[in-house]
Amino acid sequence: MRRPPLKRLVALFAMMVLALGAILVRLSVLQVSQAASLRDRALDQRVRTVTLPAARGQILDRNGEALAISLEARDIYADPRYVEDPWRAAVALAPLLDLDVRDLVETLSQEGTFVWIARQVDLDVAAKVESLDLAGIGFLKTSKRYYPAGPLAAQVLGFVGIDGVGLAGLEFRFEDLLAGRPGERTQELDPHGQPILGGVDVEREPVAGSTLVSTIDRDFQYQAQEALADAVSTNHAQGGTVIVMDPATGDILAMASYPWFDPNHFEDARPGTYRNRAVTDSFEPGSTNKVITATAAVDRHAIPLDQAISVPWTLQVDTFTIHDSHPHPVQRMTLGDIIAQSSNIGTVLVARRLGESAMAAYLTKFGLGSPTGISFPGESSGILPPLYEWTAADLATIAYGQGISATPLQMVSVYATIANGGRWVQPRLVSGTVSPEGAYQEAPASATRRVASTETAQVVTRMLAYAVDAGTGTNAQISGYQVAGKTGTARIPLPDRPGYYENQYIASFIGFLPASDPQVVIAAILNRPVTEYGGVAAAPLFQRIARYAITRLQIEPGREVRVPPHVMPLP
Amino acid sequence: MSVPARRAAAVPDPTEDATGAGAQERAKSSPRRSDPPSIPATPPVLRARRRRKHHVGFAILATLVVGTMVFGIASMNAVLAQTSFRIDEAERRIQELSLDNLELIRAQAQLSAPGRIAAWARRNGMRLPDDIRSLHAPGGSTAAPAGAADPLATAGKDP
Repeated sequence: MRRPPLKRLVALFAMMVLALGAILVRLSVLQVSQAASLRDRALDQRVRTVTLPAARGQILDRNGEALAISLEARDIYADPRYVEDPWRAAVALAPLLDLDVRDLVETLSQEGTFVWIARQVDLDVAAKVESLDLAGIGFLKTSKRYYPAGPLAAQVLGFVGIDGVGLAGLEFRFEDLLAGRPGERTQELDPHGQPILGGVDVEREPVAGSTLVSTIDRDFQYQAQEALADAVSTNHAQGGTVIVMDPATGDILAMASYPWFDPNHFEDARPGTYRNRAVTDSFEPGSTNKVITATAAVDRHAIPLDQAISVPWTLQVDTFTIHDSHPHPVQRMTLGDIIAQSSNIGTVLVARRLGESAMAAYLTKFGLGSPTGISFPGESSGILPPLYEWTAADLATIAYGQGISATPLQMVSVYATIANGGRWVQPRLVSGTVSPEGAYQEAPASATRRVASTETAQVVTRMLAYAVDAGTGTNAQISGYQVAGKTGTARIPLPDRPGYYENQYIASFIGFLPASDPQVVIAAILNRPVTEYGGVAAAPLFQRIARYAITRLQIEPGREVRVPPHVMPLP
Repeated sequence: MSVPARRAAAVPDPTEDATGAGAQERAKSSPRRSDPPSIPATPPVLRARRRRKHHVGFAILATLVVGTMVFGIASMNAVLAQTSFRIDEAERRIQELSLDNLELIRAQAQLSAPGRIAAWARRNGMRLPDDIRSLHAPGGSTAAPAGAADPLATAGKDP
């Protein structure tokens, strides 16, 4: 037998050494230098993390009735690669999901691996779709926000977007509290998407959101909205706002702005209707602002209560001529008469006695020019010009509520301050929260501050009661109850230049009852009613809501407060 | 040689005493005799039977112990599996009931919505009271007469 040549053996050995060396080098590269990145890539291929949505907390009214709840739903998607016949699938899906067949065919024929078919589909509809057993159609667990009472307090509650995030109102403001914390599940999957036994399987459970308990009274809110809608219709107004507030606690029992929308279908509504105008929009308050002038005058003893002053029907201030709403001869009026008859000239004369700095101080103390801090997104501060910019004309116009602006909420807070004995109470929309475990946490009590003395508030209350008994607010009277309040008929400023619209007004009535022991403060405001005057358009709206308040809150008549010193004859 | 084996070699078998070592000694000291030993040795059949009995007992005992253990473990696994199924079932049921609960809350809220009730009431001829009348008990009024002296009022004249 021939022995193989030595050279061949050496060559073969060398080749084997080289081959093994190459393998060794490659192994070193894979196992050492690229080990970490390859391990990560391998893990990425196998390990999948799925977000587990947290249940969104409910929003309840003050009596525990649900105003907003979240229901389980399904998002339906498609992987177009696996859709065998887009036309057949589209024809089957379209009627169930209320979609256009042609649009659906286009969606299902797209390039890519993922397209949404429908979001937040009700469970029963999703079950019907699932029963079709269509290839390439998948389902994801999600939730859908539902507002059982439809447009009730829509602007206060706000709404939630398609991704379950609050976009407006309380839903937006308290997003962190309501949303909870989503969980996640990390699993090691095989190429078919099945969990690998003994592989990674880690789950962090989602934490449900807390429930928000609002101060809104659902029934009261409904009655307020009904009354407002009727008043807008009756007076051919363009809109309106109603606020009902408990003066002692600052709780908002009802808050509505017309026109409103249904948050279940917010995408169909005009975006302008989303705004909670009671908080976000300011208006020139007009004569309702005279209560601040009167309070300042009484608190600073600027004019004796029984002193009558001569009030003409026009007054020249700088280059402007100010006049009362109706021509009248020079009249003798006390401060009580001026408020009851809502005399602009009388108010200007009182404000002149008071002075600019005192007037500005009381406007600021009452909260004009700064937000109330009600914890609502987009709250407006209103416009209160700084004192150094005031002219003589500014003092005059601001005294009767033109040349400044305030939100309806700021104005209702002004009247709540008088109703509350001179103490301002911060309005609030949330009375507490309920944790996912069911523990109720009361919201901190509203902040308060002293604006005027109790005696001053009592005197001003008498003036406001007199305004309803014998002044411009007689349409707000309720038999057996003494109502205190003030009308307002404010001109609407032009948006693009100085000046006001002709014959367009904001009509308002803000007041409380019973005058001796106020239980509720109500603001009724109508935008551009054809009836123009606050006493004609807004006072009846106030009256209707106040009537309901009496039964709803079981308000007792209280004792009668005295009429303030006056010289004008009682009717 | 293992330790137990060494021990077995070192310790003489009592049954071997008469027939084994003792006989060998005697055989060494005296000429070969065919006399039977004075104490007869246990027959090998009996020894084997006794050993077999011992093995059977051990096997039964071992089977019992192992069987019991296997049965116990199997039973425990079965109980655990059953409990696991029951937990799964309970979790599924809880989820179902939670969904039902939410659905009931929705239905309750929808049915008790003021708008729906008001519409129903209107359809059935009901309406809110037009006016509220309050009855005053005699002597119950504490109202002061109009124009009574005001504590904050001070005398003054129109400038």
